[in-house]
Amino acid sequence: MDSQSFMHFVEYELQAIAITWMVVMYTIKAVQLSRLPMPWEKEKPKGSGAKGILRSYGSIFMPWSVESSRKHMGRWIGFSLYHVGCLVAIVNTFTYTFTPGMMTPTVKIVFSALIAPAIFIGFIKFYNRLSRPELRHISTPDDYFSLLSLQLFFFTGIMALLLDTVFWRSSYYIITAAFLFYVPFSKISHYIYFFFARFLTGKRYGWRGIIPQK
Amino acid sequence: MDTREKVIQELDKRYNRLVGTSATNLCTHCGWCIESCHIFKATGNPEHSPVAKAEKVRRVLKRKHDWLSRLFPKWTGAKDLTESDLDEWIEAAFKNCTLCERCVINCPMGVETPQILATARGVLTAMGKSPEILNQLTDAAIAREENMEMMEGFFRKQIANLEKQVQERMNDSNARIPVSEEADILYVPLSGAHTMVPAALIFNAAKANWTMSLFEASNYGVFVADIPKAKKVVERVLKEAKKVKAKTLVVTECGHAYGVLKWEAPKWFGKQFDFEVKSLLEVMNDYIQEGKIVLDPSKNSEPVTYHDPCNIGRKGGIFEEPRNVIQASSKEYKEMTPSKVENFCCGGGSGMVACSEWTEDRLLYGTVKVEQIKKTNAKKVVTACDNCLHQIKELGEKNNLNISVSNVSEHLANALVFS
Amino acid sequence: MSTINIEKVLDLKGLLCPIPVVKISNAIKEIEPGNVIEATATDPGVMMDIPAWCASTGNELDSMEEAGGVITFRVKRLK
Repeated sequence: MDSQSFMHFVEYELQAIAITWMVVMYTIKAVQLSRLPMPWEKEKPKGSGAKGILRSYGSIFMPWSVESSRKHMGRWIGFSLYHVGCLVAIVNTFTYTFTPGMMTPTVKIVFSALIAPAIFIGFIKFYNRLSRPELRHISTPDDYFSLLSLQLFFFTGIMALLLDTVFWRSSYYIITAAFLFYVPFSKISHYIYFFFARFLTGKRYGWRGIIPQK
Repeated sequence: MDTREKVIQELDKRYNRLVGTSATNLCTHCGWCIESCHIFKATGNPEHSPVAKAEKVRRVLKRKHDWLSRLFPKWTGAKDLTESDLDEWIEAAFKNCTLCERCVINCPMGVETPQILATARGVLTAMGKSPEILNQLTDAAIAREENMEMMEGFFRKQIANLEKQVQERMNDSNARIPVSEEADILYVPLSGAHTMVPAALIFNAAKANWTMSLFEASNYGVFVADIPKAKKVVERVLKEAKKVKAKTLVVTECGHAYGVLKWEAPKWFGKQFDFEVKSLLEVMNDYIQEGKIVLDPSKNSEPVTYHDPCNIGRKGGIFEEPRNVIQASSKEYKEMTPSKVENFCCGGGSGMVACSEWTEDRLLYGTVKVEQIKKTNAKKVVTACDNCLHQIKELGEKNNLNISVSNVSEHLANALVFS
Repeated sequence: MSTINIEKVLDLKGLLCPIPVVKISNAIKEIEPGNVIEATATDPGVMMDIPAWCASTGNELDSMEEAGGVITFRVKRLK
């Protein structure tokens, strides 16, 4: 296989297989969860379930509304930068392949600049996990591995953007595919569960008039 | 069937969508919940963080329900259950968590740690390992109905004595405590007179059409997550409400009883009840707003603060009503910080007050509450839950806070002006 | 005629329910079967809670009297 067809394979076929795999796995999980019994509220509402759900999803963007982010604004900013980095690194796997015309040198630098802080935050996360006894106590190999593999994903993403060699570009796509295969099984799948959990919690709290607070 | 199989079977019975969502990969072990917990803040012990407590149960659930944990348990921290795990569950679910849900509102993901630990409580009860006294109090509540012929005599004698107190305080020989008679309002008290006399004063002053329940509102079945028994405890009151043709069931100032009768029991029975369920806090507020009672705030002249019980506030949705009542009946009100949905648990919730073997731990877990109370400079703490009332009284004595503690109705009754 | 052997005397005055029940539940384990705890309490709630607790735990309420706001009761350990 020459380098051109190899690159085509890792950017198209491999990604298609990996994404299909991930979607199938998530679908199975979603079906499994939705088949579990759910004790919905029966008493008439004191507030609004819909408002509760909106607030529940929105609170992550309203750091002043929740003590754990309000009192640790630095941590919340780090959390936000990290997830922006994740989002850009994921979006880049599509834009790089499907909209090459959009990927001007300026865009590449902007994307890299948005991913780079996530690497820095990732090291802080790793350090905290090792150094804080209450975090070390609950950390599993999956926690460390997920963190380090994301670092690798970010790093190859930046290198592919800045250098654009076959080596870095193919590394980026191979790691992306490996990631897509692994994600449904690891704690990284939290971003899918988030939508279920926030819906259920928000609906109950909203229904009972607990959130949003006046 | 060995212990492990039985535990898994009991876990399966309780594995619903809420537990299932929180029990696999939703938690990223980020640690944001850690400092939200009053118990971790009091001890600093890594074992006491919400995530660490949930993890003791979650690792067993993951072993069964999470794909990766089935293949490589060590990789995800999952494990097969052992006998010693159950002892750890007792510590995590009963002793070191009051199910206050403060961690839930502080979790960026919405992990419902108390749902996981309440599941563990139910399993431990099924395995005969939950605290004996909580089970005894549940059974005693059921025995009260089963032995009603004998009990009713004791109860009516007690009420007759309390009725005299009410008449003396109101200087009105017509003031009454009707018991289980036909009425619009069925008021469900606790066993203690402090939940009967003030309420009777308020209902009489407001000229309400009310009656006192033969039963107590508290439901220890919910603390041990024994839902069949908890339903039996509720059924006694449902039958009585039907008998007296009540339009409104008013629950006394008891956190878990309000949570059960207002929100949880309709789910257990699969329907909304034929009558409205209200907290006494809401009714007192209504009477003030409607001008049905007259108050003299100068009778409560000391600075007063309010402690939001978790089951009334963060889990129940009642925040403003008690504040309105207290402010209308006091000269000086001081808000606690934080309060309302972010208030800290007093440390005595979810049955801890009744578990005498953990008294020292419980008083330690009230450390944050003690600091909160001190900062208000209030001389009186008013709350709306008997567990909180017990706990804050003991905290006050142990820490020389020089405070008085009462429930909201007692505080209001003290300011009542009888015409 | 049977004799009553009071092995333990408890002062539960000023305690609110369910604490009197908790104290009796703990104390009953410390006396011999057939012996009796005598207790005094002021919360009228004990007039319901103690008989109910006795009925559900298989102990015997020997007597319960109220005078001047003080309730005196005796619980016999049966097993």
